[in-house]
Amino acid sequence: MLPLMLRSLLVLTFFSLCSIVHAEIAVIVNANIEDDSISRNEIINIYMGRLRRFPSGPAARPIDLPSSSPDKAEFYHLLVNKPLSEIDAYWARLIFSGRTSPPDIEPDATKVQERVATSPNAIGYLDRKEVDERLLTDKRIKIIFILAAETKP
Amino acid sequence: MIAFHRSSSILVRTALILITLFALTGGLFIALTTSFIRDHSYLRAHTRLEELLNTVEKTVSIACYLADKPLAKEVAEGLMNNRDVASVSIHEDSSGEILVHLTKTVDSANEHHPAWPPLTRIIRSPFAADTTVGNLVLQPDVAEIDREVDENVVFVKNLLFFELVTLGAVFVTMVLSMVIRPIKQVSVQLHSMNAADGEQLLIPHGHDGDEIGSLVTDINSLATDLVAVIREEQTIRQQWQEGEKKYHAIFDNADAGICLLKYDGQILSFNQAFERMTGLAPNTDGHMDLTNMSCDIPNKIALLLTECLLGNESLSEHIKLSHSDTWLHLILTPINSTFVQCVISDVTELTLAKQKVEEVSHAKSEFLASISHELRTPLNAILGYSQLLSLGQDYPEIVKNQAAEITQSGSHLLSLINDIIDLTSIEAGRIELFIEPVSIKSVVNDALTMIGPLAQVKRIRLINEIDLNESVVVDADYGRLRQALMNFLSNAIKYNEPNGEVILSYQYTGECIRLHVTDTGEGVPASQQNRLFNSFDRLGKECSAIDGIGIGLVVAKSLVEAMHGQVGFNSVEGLGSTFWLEFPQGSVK
Repeated sequence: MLPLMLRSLLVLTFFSLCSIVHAEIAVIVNANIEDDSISRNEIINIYMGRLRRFPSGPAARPIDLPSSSPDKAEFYHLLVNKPLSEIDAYWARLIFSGRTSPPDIEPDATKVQERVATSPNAIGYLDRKEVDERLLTDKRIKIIFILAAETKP
Repeated sequence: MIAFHRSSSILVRTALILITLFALTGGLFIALTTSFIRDHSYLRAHTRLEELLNTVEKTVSIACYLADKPLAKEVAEGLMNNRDVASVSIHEDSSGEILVHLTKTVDSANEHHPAWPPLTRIIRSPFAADTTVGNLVLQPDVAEIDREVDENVVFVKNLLFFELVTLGAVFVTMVLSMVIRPIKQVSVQLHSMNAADGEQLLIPHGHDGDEIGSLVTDINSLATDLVAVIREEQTIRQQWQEGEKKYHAIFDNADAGICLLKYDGQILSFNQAFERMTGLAPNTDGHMDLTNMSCDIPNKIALLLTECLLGNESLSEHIKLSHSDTWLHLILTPINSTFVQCVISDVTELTLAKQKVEEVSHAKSEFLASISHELRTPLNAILGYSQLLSLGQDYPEIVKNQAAEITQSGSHLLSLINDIIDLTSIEAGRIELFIEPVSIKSVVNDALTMIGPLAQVKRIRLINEIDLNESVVVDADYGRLRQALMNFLSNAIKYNEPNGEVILSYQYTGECIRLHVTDTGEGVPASQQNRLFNSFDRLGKECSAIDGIGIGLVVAKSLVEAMHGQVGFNSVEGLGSTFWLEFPQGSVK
């Protein structure tokens, strides 16, 4: 009995992992931003604090999800191929001496959408499917980049 | 240095050898170890710096990525805390900006050290491994590293030096306690040992079975042997001194002249008697030479000396000094191949007396020869006429008997005279011999036949044990050999016990054959045996009933010796005597 249960559990875990890998993350910005697309490196620069500007010039303000969000892990995984712990360690190193700071954190996807919709400099990320649904109703935001498993570096 | 080595003790030498050895091996060892430790320490320092770079690489990567000078500075300061680091600089690639450059205050000594190549690390982006974002250059502090290395080297050197010194001290102590101390103990004992009293060395404690123990044992046995040899030597020396004294006592006080000669006749030492007898005096160069002694025969002394040395045996000789009537008797005894001892006695008186005696003896012989001849002539007439008288028919019985007495006495007188004539002719060397091979068997049988009547009269049994055949012969004169044999036989019969025996036997002695005549008489006392072959000496039997004048044995001896044979006898008083005559075996007839 027990080995059977253990096996089904393993299978479940496998499927759930597959779903994460195959998920897509959409990077969204305020619709007023001139740029229609952005490079992955530029997103990295903005999120990791190197250069917080859009290619067209205006300052960029990254918005993050809390560490408990699976979308956050997925985002960083697809973006820089690193687990959250490393990202946390990165920021921990910069807390006392760094001249830059980690992205602002919004508690959930709705708040992120709201923030991006209301702040012209904000840049955030959401699950692709979720974004697609929201875009139907909210024209204040636009997708600027799709992070997909296939496109990861 | 060599003289020092000779005079210095084992301890000093051991210490010197150790110091030399340690200097050589320790120097080499320290050099090798130093080289190894230096290389190793440099490698370690390099590795350490590389590890340091690894540690900070991630942070530097972030600092470069963000062009974050405060972070870079923090990292650089962290690195500068390491004393092996001389300077740190971090460059950011995108703008070519130097984020930070820190340098230690440089000592002036630093410049003397060879510069190490700086450690450069290419810094990659923390998010894209293929993107370079800057570089980190670290200059090691060579002076500091050298100082550390030197500290290590000095520590190891000190450790090695300490170890060598400790080892050396332990070794020297061992040598001191295991070798030098026991040897010193033995040496001190040896100094105070009185080997003559039988003292022995004691083996140092704990060295019973080792080399020192056996050395002491050997010294003890050597000392014992030496003492024995010295005692023997002392005894010999004492005996030699006594002998020397005796020799000097004899040499100085002897009546005989004694001298020591070299092979060439040079006199090395002589006593007073020698000087007195020979009258020799040193010649011009201070030497005395025995060959200078002038004697009746020139070079006689030199010849004697040579003969003595060549034969290596004593010689004695009479010489007459030519300048006087002195006769000397020389005895030369070789001492070795070079020296000869010469003993000289003055025999002038003896020689003159002997000459006189010989003259008298010769006159006696002459007298006897002539008187005997003159006696025999009238005796023939007496014997002839007395025989006629005893055989005549016309005379009364008493006259015949008296005539027979005359004949018997005459015959006896004739035989005595014949014996005397023989003796004198032998002594005068006028005897005539006809030497031929003579069969022993026939001469013995002939003699026995002739002596038979005498034996019968004396009731003596004759036993002939000679069973030789006719072919055994000796070279002799038949009649004279028979005469000699008959003289022995008649003596054996005359001086025998009543009803005694006379045994004739023979014996081979080498190449010779010896005939024995053994009687059962009273024998000859040992004190008189040397007078047995003297003429007219009857050993006290002159007044006995046995007739004779004491020349039978003398005649027999003279005859046998004239025929190149020998005579002799042995006698035990009370048991009898055996007389023998011996001839070389002659060729077969």
